[in-house]
Amino acid sequence: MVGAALVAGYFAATPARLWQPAPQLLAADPAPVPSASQWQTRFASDADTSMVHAASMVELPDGRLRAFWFAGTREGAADVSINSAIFDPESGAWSDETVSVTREQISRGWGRHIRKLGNAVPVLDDDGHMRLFVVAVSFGGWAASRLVVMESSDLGANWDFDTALVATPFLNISTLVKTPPIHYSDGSIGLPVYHEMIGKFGEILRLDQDNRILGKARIGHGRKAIQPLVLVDDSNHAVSFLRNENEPNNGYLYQSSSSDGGWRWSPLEYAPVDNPSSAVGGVAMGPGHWLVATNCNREERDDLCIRETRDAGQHWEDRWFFHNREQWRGNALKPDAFADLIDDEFVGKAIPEDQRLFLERVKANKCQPHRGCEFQYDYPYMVRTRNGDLHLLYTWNKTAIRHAWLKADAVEGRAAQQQPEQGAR
Amino acid sequence: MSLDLVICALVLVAVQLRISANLLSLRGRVVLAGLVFVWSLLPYPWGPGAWVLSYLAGFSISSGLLAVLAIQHRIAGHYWLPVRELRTACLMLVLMALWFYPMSMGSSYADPYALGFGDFVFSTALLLIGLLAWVTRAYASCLILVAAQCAFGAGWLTSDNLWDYLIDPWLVCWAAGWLLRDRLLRARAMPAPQPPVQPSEAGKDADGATEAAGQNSATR
Repeated sequence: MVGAALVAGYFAATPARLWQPAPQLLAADPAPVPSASQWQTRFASDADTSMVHAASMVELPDGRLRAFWFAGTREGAADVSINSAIFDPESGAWSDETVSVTREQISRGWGRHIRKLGNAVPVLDDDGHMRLFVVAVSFGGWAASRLVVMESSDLGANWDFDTALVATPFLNISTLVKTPPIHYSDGSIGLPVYHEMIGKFGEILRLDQDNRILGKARIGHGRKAIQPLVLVDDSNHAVSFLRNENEPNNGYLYQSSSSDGGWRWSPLEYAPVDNPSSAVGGVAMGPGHWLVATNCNREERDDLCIRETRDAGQHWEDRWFFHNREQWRGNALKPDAFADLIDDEFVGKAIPEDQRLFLERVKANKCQPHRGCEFQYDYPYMVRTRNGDLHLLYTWNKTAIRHAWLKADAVEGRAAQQQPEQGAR
Repeated sequence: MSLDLVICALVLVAVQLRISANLLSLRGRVVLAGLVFVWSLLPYPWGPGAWVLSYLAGFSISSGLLAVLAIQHRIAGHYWLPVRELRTACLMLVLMALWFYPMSMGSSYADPYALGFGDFVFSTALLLIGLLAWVTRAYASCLILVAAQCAFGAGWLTSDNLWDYLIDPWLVCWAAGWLLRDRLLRARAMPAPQPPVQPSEAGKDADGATEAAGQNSATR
């Protein structure tokens, strides 16, 4: 009797999927980097709130983009919500910013206390369902984060709570998202996550379409690196770049790779890419051909560029600079001088409807009485759409979500008519 | 209503019965236990269960079954688990937690928690542990293990990880506390080395100084 129960327990504890072959990574088809067009820059957010941060986006079936970010009076405030807007490439314009998910909404759906919300990452499934992975905190700071999953059947217009992911054994805390998911051949996704409490390290959670965790792979360990960006080369090989938190040696990105479909990752090593311990975004254009959006210095988040490698990271090239405020670094800029410089960034299509409001919010966010004003361009999130366009979202001075768009060469005839914009130098 | 909330309610009732053990009559404790159980099951924000789960996350199946045993003990007055088996189980649990939690929270590249999402080696190791418990007649541990595995197979908790069905940090804390208390009670029950005494006083040290007395106290 007891023996039979033990055998039953064995089979109950052995999921059926273990008897099936492991799925493979899905890589995007190789594509050239668009070379015939210029980056266009716009603002995706409307400055409806004092602060915005941590944008992400997903391509909709019709080619539009839906972006998400968290917005409120300040980071960690109780009034922070997940806001959203849609970009239509046909019209080249962003829709009005709307509130997508609130703290109260998650709290009601989950039946748990939620103190604040943070990063959100979307994924669109083949069946048209959209999922949004949201960082939710019941107590303490970001180190006590948990992940909840919201689901939408109308491409992100309305959301319902689906489940909370249990990703750690200790109070289920310290799991956050930042970077885009990867896809497997069986329809499951790999969600890059990271931990910030006792250890600082990255992981990939493999999830099925019902948001069940099927497996977990660790990238790094100890207190070294967070926010893994995973770029897939082919069905077996992937590389991950991680924000370096290993003080004081945190002037470079960390790097790890996998050759078995993302199940096991190599020990962390420094990538020859300067970074001031800030978040990275990026896309794979083909095997070993990667674009990484990041702050391109070791000290501050006052520049933003995209670096390119065509030989799997042996050599890197600064491909595009979107901002570079190095010469004002440490100058304790006065608000008026700072405002003049910020004003220069309202050019081309990046002119908000209420420019004065943007300026006031920037000064409020980035100027301090004794330290002066500082520039901040960070948290890039990059995608390559099905038509080959490149899109980059990033936090612009904690005040707005800025969008940079590089059209694929297929539309080069139209792109050639466009004027270069100052935002992409 | 989720099983996570039911287990949380059972744990809260067990705690309430322990606190009120010397404060209320048996009838009063049972009535209060019923009220606490129902109150704990109320949805957020009215019930304490939802608040406890908000802060402490979920409890394991093992915690739930031990809570049932504790409730039964407080109400019926006897304990089903043999003390020697409980002591061994608590010791193994604490020792395993010392390895499991640091590794799972990132102290190394190896991640034992990842095994809980489904792994042949892990399932086989649990089968061997179950067989060992069976051979050593630790039937309660055996049944708790099987119950947790079956609940995992059925997906009854929010978690998709077998570890979360088997153990939780609060179970480990309770086990560590139980071991500490057990140790203290056993030390107290053992006759202390005495200086030479007068023959007329020698018989006064014998009261309650037996292993059995210490074990009985430790289970309360």
